[in-house]
Amino acid sequence: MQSFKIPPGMRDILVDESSKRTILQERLLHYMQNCGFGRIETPLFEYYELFSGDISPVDDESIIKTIDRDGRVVVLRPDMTIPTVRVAATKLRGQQKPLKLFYMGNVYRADKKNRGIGREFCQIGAEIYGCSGKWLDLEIVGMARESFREAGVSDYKIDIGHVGIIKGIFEELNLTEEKKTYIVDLIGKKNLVELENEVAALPIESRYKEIICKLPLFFGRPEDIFKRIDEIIVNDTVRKSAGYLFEIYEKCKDMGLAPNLIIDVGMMGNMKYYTGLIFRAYAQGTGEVVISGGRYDDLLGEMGLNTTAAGFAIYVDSMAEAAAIENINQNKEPKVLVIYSGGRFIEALQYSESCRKGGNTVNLINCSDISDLEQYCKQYGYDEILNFE
Amino acid sequence: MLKVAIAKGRVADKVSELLLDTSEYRNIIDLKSRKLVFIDEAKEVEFFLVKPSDVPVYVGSGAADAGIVGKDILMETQSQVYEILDLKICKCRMVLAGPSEKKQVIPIVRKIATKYPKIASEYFNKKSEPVEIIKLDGSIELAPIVGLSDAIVDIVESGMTLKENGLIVYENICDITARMVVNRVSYKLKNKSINTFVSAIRSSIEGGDTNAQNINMG
Repeated sequence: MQSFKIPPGMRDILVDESSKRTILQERLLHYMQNCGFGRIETPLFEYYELFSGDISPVDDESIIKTIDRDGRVVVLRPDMTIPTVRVAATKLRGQQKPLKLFYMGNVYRADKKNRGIGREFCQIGAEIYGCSGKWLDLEIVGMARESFREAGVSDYKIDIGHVGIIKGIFEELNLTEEKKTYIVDLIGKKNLVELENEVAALPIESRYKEIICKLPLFFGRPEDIFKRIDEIIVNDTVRKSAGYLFEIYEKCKDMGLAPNLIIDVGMMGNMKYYTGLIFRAYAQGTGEVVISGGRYDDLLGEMGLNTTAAGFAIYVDSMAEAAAIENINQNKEPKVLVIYSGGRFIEALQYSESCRKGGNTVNLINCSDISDLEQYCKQYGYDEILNFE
Repeated sequence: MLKVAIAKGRVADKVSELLLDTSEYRNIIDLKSRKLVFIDEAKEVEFFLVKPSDVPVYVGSGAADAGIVGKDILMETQSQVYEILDLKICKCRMVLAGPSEKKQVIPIVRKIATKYPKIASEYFNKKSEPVEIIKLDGSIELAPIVGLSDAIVDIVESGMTLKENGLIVYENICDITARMVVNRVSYKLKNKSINTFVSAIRSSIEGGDTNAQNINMG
C-alpha cells in the first residue's frame, strides 16, 4: 500500500478550517470590491527576471525556481505585488490613474531552514497607483484597519515607519554601498549586538554612531517618539521624512487609529524597494506579521511607468489564526440531511433543490449509503433530517 | 505573561545564577527540580527550559516571547528574531581543531566533522578552501580519532576535552557568548515587560545600575 504523502512544507486545508478561511477571504475580497478596487488574477508561474532585479522585496534564496522547456528560469511567484505592477505597467498601462487593484493568490517561498520544498501562503492585497502624497498612504493604513475589522480582530497594532529617515541619516555618512547595506540590514533586523560592534569600528563621527545605535530601539507610542524625534534629525531628508510621518500620525489620530499605532523609526524593508512609508500590522496572540505594506514609487519607473505606487498584503493564514483566537463569528446556517429511497428520489431531489434556492444547506443521500445515521449526523453537524423513504 | 525560553545546560545554569541577583526574578527557576516550566503568576513571567537548538524555533514562532541561547546556535539556525543583548556569559570559542600529531599526507580536500555545518562551510568558503563537511550530532571529538574526518569545527571552553582526546586547536573561528533574542512581534507588543527583563539581566551582569535607553510601551 503506497503512502500518499505531500511534499514537505505543503499542507492540505480541510473542511472546517477551509470553510473558516473561505468566509474570511470572502469578507476581505468583498470589502476591497466595495472600495471600488478592480480585481486581477495573475499566473502562478512567472519568469525569474521579474523578481531578480535590484528592486525586489524578496531575497533570491527564498524564490522557488524551475526551468522550462526553452531553458528559461521560471519561478513560483513569491509575491503578488510585483506581478500586479507588471500588469499595471503593461496590460493596464493605458488606464486612467488613479488605478486601484486587488488580488488574492498563493505565494511560494523556499523553506531555508528545513529541507521542505517551500511554504505556501495565501495573500489578499491591494495596490494603488497614481495617488499623491499622504492620501495614498492613509488610504492603505485605513484599509488595513478595515481588514482587521472584517476579520473580526479587534486587538491589533499597526507599526509604521518611513525609510527616508534611515536613508537620510546614511546620506551624511561616507561609507561603501556594501557597508551601508550591511548596517541598514542590522538596524532592520534589530541585531543590537552586531550593530554595536560594527558601528564602533566605523570611520564616522561618534554623534552618528550614537544615532545609528539608537535606531533599532527608537519605537513606541507616537506621542513618546515624536517628543524625541529631534535626536535623530540630521538633515533635510530626515526632517522631511519625520515630518511626513508626523502628518500621517495626526491624520490617523483623526481616524481614531491612535491607540493602535506604534511608530518605529528603525523599520526597514529592502532599502531599494520601499521609498517612503512602510508598515506592518500584528494581532495579539499570533507571533507573525499579519499585514505588510508601504510605498514603492520607484518600482514602476523600473518597468517604464512613472507613477506613485503603494500597497499592502494580508497574510490570510495569520489573519485567520488571529481571528480564531478572537473567535470569528460564523453564520451558522441550518444544515438539512435528506434521506431517500429509490422510489422517492425525484421528490427528494425537487425538495432539496427548492430548499437550497431558499438559502439552506441540503445534503441529499440515498438511505442505503448511510450505515449509522446518528453518527453521520453527529460528525457533520446536521440540524434536521428529512425522510423520503 | 512574558514567556522566556532558556537553553538547557550551561546557559540555564548561568542564567539562573544571574536571576538570583535580580530582585524581580529571583526565586522562580529551580534547576534542582525536574520541572521544565517555571511560572510566576504574580510577576507574570514564565521560564521554560529547552534544548539549545530549539530556542530560536520557540522564539521565532512566538511560542516564547524571548529566549537565551548561545551565539553558536543563532549562527547555525538563522531565524527571524531580534538579537538584542549579549549576556557575555558562557564564553567559549568556535575553533578548527584536529589531531596534534602532524599527518604524513595532508589531503587536498580535508574532511571536517561538525555539529555546525553552516558555520563550518561559511568559514571555509571565506578562506576559499574546498572541504567536505560531515554533519554529526554529538561527541564530535571522536571523528578525527577514529578516522571519520581530518579535523573538526566545534566549540571549545577550557580545552580540556580536546586535550584529553589528543586534539589541538588549529585555528580560532570566532568567540561565542550567550545572547538574548526576542520575537519580532512580541518586541513591539510586549515591549515594557521585555525591557524590564532586559534591564534586570543587564544590571545583574554589570553588577550595578544601567541607563536603560529603551522606550516603554503603554
